[in-house]
Amino acid sequence: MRKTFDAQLRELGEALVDMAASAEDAIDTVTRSLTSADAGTARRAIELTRAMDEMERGIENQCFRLLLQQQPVAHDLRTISAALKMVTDLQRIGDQCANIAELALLWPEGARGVGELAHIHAMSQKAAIMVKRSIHAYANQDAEAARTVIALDDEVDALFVLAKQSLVALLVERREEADRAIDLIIIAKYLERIADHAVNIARWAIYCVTGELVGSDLALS
Amino acid sequence: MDILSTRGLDLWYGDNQALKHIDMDIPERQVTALIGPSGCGKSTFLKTLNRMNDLVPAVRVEGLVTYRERDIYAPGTDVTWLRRQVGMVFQKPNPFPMSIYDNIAYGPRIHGVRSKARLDDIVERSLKGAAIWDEVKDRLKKSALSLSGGQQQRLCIARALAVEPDVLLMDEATSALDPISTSKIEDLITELKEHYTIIIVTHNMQQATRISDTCAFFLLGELIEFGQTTQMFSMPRDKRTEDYITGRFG
Repeated sequence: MRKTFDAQLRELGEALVDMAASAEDAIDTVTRSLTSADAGTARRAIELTRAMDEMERGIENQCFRLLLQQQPVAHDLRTISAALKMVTDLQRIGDQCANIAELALLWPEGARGVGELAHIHAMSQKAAIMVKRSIHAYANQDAEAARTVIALDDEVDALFVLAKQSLVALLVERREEADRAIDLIIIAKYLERIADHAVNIARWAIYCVTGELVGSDLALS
Repeated sequence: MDILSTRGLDLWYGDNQALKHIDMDIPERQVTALIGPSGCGKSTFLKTLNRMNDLVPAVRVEGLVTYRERDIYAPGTDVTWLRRQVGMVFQKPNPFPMSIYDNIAYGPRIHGVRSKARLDDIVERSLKGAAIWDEVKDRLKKSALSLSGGQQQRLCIARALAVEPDVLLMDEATSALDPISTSKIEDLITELKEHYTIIIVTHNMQQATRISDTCAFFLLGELIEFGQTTQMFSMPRDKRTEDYITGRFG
């Protein structure tokens, strides 16, 4: 029963997994752009985020059509409302990547490849893992996997503190690197925000499975 | 405060058990929706609440049904009194073949109201209560059968209100109506719950979510789930409820 609707729900899940894969790609590409010798990598990251904007509109349309045509309740309603919330977080992740890429594009060519990026790399890797896991938790209806994403956020926050400390030290020791150090602090903050969006996605994945929104008093009853 | 309660309610039509041990407490001045597939027992349950099943041959009821803590199946219960307290509106509008005025005045006259002024007052108040006064006030002497289906159904609600009931039972009261008439009756139900307890049987899930506060899901004569409507339609507790309301039943 409801074969068409079930197929449409599967397509919605697949579209979100695709968009999350693009988000991972954008995070990875933009992080590489920080050490890349040319501007091409940063530009590619921006292109990826533009494609994500298109995907967002497509997923929103899918959700609105399903709400209109199927008048979903119970788990179906949670699946679609969670998708509508998660797609916004994914799109914001794209925005943060674009912001990072635009900062990187402002750097003179020779400034790329300078060190002090170890913490930022670590943050980027963890944030990408969080995005991937959170969407897979949704697609697989795995609330436990989603909870591990929320736990990872503390590690990203701790890395942000370390990144900031080392960049402040850089700022003090090498005044000529001050602009870049400040940019990198901003970039670290963007990555920390990306991890926060992944946490939001994980919370909606849990909501989809259990009906409870972690860290909120949202309750329909 | 619960106005109607059942405990261990069983009902048989001959050898066929239609209700199995139903325990339910219906809250006062709320809308309670009874849902479930055809033959699940929801209409049968509704009819036990004002003993309309007494009219069915070979029916047997066991267990307890209380209205305001009175056992309504106790010997000596005045069924006319009960049905005045617990009124009913049916699926198909069934106005009497008489004037609009006389349709409304019928019940009060049976209950002994004779004064023309008093009857005029009841007719106006009931028609206003059922949100149909403005449409019929200039043709109260016309036949009720000249009204549209939606108007006839509101007239039947007005007729039920005329005897000042406490509870209104509605058995698929909008299923024969177009969407505009349906939404008028849904608005009316929402207004009426300020003064009345309303229990509806509906096959329309969206209607149950729109207008009911509490909801009961019946399946094969059993009460599977009973609780707040928003809870049931967002996070049902029972897999069978989920399967039914999402259309994946069977």
